[in-house]
Amino acid sequence: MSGLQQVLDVVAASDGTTTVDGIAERTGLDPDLVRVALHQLVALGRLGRDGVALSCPDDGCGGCTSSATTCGTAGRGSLVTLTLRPPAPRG
Amino acid sequence: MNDQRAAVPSCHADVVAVDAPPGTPVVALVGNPNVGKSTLFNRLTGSGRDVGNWPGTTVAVGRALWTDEDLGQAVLLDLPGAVSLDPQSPDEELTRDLVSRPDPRDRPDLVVVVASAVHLARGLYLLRQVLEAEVPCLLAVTMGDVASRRGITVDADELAAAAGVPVVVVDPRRGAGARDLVRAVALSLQAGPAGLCGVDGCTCPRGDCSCDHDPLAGPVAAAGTDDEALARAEERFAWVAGATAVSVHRRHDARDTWSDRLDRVTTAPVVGPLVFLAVMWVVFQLTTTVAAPLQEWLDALVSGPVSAAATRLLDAVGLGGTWVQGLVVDGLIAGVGMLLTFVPLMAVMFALLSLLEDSGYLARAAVVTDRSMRAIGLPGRAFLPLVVGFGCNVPAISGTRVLPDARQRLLTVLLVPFTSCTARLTVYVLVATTFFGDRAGTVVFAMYVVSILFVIVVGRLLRSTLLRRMPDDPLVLDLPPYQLPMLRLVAAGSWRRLRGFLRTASGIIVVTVIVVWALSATPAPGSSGTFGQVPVQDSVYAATAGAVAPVFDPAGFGSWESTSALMVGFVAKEAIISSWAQTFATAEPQAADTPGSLGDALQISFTESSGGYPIPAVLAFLVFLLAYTPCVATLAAQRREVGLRWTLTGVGIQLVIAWTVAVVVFQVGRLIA
Repeated sequence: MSGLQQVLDVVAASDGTTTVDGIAERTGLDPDLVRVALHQLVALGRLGRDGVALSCPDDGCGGCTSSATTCGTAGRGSLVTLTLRPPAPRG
Repeated sequence: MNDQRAAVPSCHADVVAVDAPPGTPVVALVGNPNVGKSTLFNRLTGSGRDVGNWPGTTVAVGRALWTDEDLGQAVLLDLPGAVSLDPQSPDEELTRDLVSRPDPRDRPDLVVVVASAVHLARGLYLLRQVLEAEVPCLLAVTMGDVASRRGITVDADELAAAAGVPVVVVDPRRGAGARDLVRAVALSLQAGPAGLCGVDGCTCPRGDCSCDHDPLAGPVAAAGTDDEALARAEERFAWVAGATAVSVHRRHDARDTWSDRLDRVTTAPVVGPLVFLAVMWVVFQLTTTVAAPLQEWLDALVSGPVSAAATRLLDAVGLGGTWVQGLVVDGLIAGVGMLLTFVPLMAVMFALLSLLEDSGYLARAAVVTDRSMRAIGLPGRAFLPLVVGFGCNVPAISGTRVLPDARQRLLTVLLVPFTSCTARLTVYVLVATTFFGDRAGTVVFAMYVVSILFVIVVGRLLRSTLLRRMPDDPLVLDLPPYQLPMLRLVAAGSWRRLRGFLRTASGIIVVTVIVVWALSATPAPGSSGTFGQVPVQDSVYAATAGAVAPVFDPAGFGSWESTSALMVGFVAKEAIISSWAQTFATAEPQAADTPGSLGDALQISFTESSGGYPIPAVLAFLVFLLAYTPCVATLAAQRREVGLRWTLTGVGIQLVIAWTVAVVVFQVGRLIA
């Protein structure tokens, strides 16, 4: 099986949360290669990438009511999450 | 082409910026972040770095004239770090734009892809994309010393054969390999564009490619249909994996990095949560210890000289003794001023949290939380909004939109209010320092532990009753490596959080203070005073709270002072502080210039309402404060996400749980006491 599909399958088959190291363990790929694969899958739109802001919004409570996800600022030490997205329609 | 890209000049157009003669070749350093690119730039150019912003962007690019006996002259560009040419930030977009401009004549004459030997696969991915853009390039492999310590060696010859480009191993810090790099660059520039495309065995001259790959197709996302794009990405991945497999060799007895070793502790199933609790205890202990003296000083300043000066000023303009003095001194200065005394405390707290976040630890804490959530049967993704809720409940509720399942969203929206936001922290600290002295930090920490317990217990209850069936969707967590915190980033993060606190205090709290003052200045029906001239205990404010207060008698805090504060707390939790400050400043105005008078008044109030058991009553009050409705902004967010019916259901659940647990805490505490 090809590398990207292998990574995608492991993500899809995981029961809940997994990490880069966890995917590396299950695919036998180097963690760096897993990161490359995940990056490509994000670029392809197969995975959604979000930085999780673990802080309050800049302008106080209620300042981010229209936000799609979290609305604080995700810094360089922030957690990044990747979630599955359906493939784009053909055509 | 978007406006920003259109505004980016070609590499050649900017040569003038470093006084280079026309026709001077342009060499660009491109690489992943933190691979030693800028160090190499400084090494090659003698630190002649001229950092400038490209027109239309705010991204800094290093530029310098590079003069060498083997090379002659070239303009060297230090482009922003990029993971790939599929941009996910303005930095990466600029790098992509400069490297893969549609007209080959606008591209650099040569790109040096700088890749770390430690994470070679990531660098090769970028190299592959540069090759696909048909830009002449070579590969500089850095950080060989770090890789060697980790048992990794890179065979440059094998790599060059596999990648189809010249490979030079270089140590930018010590200069080793720099001469080889100069020669390789000189040779590549002399060779020109021909023969440098290593993709698919293509050897066409640049700009005249007849192979079946399309050099202008650009990054992955631009490549045709979804299946075609996936196939193209697979091809890239296989290329990277193949080149890595033949050139990277790992010793089997290699030691893990300190980040890996630390991770084994901080994310361990049992030890991880204990480490998390210990870290948070230290945070709260430091917060209360370091900030307390500053807070006391500010408290004395606000309730003493500031109030006295305002009173004298109002006397001088003939407004002394009028309702204006009540509004300004007992309302705005006592209420908002008291809240502002918490600025040092919040600043210390936010600085410590920013420190933890920038170091990468908070991301590990999120993993630990996630595992705990799943262990008790809550969906993995639900932990994200819950973690955010410890900062502020409002964005946490908005954040539930990332959950694809409606039942997951509903469950999380109902649980978020039980996460203890930073607004509640101010009240914890005031009460804890008043009643528990040196143990205040431990009491505050305990409130956060209770908050987690509430989430777990209520979550289990909801899953076993209202929300039995719930899927758990896949989620990948990408942890950042541990890193030494940068003072600038920590300061910026702290200020961002503090600014949010100050904006809340200067907005909704000022309005609340004015409303509370107006109600406390209005005589209750049957009392004898006039507006602004009535004792607060005879006001509409006290009468309304007094009507509700008996509900809290079994919990030990059934006084109108505590009840009114909790009622005001529906608006915002910070308003509890201002409400108490107003109440006691109005009730005992002669004590306004006495430092610590609010604490003394609270001691008396809780002792009276609890029948002589202030400590159990205070603990019950704190538990109620933690569990009942956070604020109106949270209610509005809940209504928007799950509708009015579930919002009211949530409020009902919160009030019942808060009251029940508070009563249990007080009654058990009284028995023990």
